[in-house]
Amino acid sequence: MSRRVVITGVGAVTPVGNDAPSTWEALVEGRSGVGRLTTIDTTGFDVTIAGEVKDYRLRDEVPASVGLRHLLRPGTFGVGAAWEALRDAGVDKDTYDGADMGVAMGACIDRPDLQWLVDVGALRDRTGRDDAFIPYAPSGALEYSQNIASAAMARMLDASGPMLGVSTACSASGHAVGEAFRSIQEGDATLMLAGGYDSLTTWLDVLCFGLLGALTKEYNDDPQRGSRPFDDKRSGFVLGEGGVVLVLEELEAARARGAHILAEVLGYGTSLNAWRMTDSPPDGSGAIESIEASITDAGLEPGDIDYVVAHGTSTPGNDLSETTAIKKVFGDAAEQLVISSPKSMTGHLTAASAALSLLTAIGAINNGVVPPTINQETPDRRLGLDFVPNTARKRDVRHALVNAFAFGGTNVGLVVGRYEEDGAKR
Amino acid sequence: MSGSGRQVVVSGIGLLTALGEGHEANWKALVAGESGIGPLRAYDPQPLQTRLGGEMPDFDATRYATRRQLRTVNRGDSLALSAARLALDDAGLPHKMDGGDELGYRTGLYLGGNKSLGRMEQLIEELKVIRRPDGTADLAHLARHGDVIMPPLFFVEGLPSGAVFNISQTYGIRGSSTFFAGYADAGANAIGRAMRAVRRGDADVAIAGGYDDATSWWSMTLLDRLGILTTRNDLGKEAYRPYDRDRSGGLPGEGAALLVLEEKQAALRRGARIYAELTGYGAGHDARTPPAADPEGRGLARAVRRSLEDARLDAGDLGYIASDGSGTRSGDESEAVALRTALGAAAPTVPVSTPKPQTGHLVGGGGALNAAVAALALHHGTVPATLNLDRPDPACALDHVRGAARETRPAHAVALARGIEGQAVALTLSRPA
Repeated sequence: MSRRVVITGVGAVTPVGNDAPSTWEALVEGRSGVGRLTTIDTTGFDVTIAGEVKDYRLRDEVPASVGLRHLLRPGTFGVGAAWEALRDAGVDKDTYDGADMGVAMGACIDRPDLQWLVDVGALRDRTGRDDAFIPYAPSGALEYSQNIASAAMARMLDASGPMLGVSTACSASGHAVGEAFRSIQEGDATLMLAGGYDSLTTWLDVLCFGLLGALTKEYNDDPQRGSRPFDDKRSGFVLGEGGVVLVLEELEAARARGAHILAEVLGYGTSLNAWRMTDSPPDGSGAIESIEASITDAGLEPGDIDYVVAHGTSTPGNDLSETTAIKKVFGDAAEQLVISSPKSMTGHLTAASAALSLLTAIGAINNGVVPPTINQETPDRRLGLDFVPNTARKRDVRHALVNAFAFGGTNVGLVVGRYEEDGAKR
Repeated sequence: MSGSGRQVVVSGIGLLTALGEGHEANWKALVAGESGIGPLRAYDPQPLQTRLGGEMPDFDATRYATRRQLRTVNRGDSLALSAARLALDDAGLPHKMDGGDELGYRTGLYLGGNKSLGRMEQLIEELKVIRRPDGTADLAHLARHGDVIMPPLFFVEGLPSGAVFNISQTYGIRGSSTFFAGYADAGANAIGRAMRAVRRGDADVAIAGGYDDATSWWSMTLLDRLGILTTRNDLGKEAYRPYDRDRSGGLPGEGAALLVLEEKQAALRRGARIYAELTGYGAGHDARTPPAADPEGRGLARAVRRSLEDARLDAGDLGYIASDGSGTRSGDESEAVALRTALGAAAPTVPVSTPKPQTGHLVGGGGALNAAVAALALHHGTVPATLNLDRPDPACALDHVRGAARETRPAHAVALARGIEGQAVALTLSRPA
């Protein structure tokens, strides 16, 4: 029998709050964090909105002694969230032997500077050589790496256990939390910081996600209505940004130190669509596999799941294929499920989005309330499930499923449950 | 529980390095002490401080994949896709490219790499139109005419986990999966996590490993000035000399190392050739400020200890260590300290060597290459030597294999990987019983 893994701390820096409590509060209130995109000059862009983190200064939150050099925007969100999660859990570098603590984070590599690309082009024109280029400064090369922020997190704990850097785009923090769960189950660590950080509000991503038709272009004048998962008038996702980090601990160790246990991680399943780079199969096949694998891994039946935190991006294709998958896995029980998407309020936190969904699930389990999917104005009749439209719902949640899907066809299912001492289901 | 229940074997090896294509060619060259290092020739490396590396000028991905499959892949992803073909063919598993079926839901795919973007050449060319007379970039012009300016597939091709998509789509692989980003740790963690997935029953077969286009000008813009590469371009094939008194840093190499991992009983039932059992996995981290390594290499020591514990072996059981050998002053010294810590009394008698001075450092694929070399050493009963190790540095004292390969028939081996942020991974492999 595997060791049990519990969640004992949460930290978050998101478009709706600069810490986990304020993020949860906003989600329950149905408050949108989407607004004008300010990280780039949007003149000429078809898309001018995003869910941005507001007024966050890492150096006001985290002591400089941790070592905060080379952190770019996404890394500051991740490091801030990790610091909060550790304080929430009451963990520091003396809680366990450093060798028993590790880090698993989903993130994305940095984007090239547009001016640099133009400068290389100019150099090529000037020299007449089409292979001329300009090297990066060493600091730039370090900043480019996605794992610099994870290294800062390890320093907070003086952790010399596993360090996993996952890069599966929009499912990355789902994989990271899942692999951290396995690492503790299998005896590789007693504690793992797990989650993700991302900020794809860059010139490249806003432009190219837009060119692919993945972002909504119809709500530039009404940003808070742009992200509308499962609504009939949905027309694409809204980019968000942020960092969400959880403290995962082996149950007996957590109990021995008297930790406050927020939830238990029960199941993890992954799959591949092997279909198309940017679309999911309309029959929901890959998602069905990851959902079923995670529920089976938890030792549960679909009917045991009370709440699904949907990937729910607000693209026509994802929401249809995800709903199809849910209907196929849950059958008649799908009617009883409550399903909601925090992306309706935050936009899509990409590599950090699955960790945000876990925060949402943990909140629901502990507070008996399920945050809504906002902007549900015209139900999409083809979907027809309970997406908790517009206002939060009181609901006893014992088991929640988190879905995460990504470009490239990587799927993740995670099942978390209320912590029960006897682990009845296991 | 570690070690109980299902066992995991290596039944296929796909290798692409500057030494050759396929594991036979690579093994022959490794044992013969050949070098794939030379002046970088794919472009003019003049802006770089380091102008040597292990390139594959004759590599032609169309030998392993269709033009259609190669439509949205950059150099690194094409190496991964090709190595997957080599590994599957080597394992003798029927697959779609050979007229067989999709590999389906019981086959996993775990990769590690260091990819950042798609092909840059066309992007740089197209972006010239947004250069204002004063040289600055006109973002608004790009935004208005992005559909004309941006190469249509550039963004899709740039997906970091693109190789996961390309391999899964080519072979109909639908099982468990993830993708790690980093240096040598990335591909090694991919193999370790894949082994655990097969062991616990999440998959019956997994393709796992790493790859990198580390010698490309774009990769080199990032690697060149980190202080980890040698600038002794004058030394040519002798520039990369791990553990040597005169070492001055590593060199990059492009390539891929992918393994087919399989549940042992299933492999035996189909009469597969088993190179090695994958018996242990351990990971660690230095918790220092990058790119500095912990002088004690404590993350690495932790990874080795955990890997041996997972394999239920003692250090004295080891007959080979495929080491990291970054070739930097502090990297090699801290590696030796970590190994002496982890191996204890056995440290002076475990043969150690690294393939890197012959292939260059495959960065995202470097740890996976070491795992492949360890599997081949167990399979052939031979331990290759570390090239260019003429005058061993006493600070790096270990039982270094140098000069010529040793035929020692090792029973157990450990393959090491280290990352730029202090990551460390150790994989334990054992000769099949």
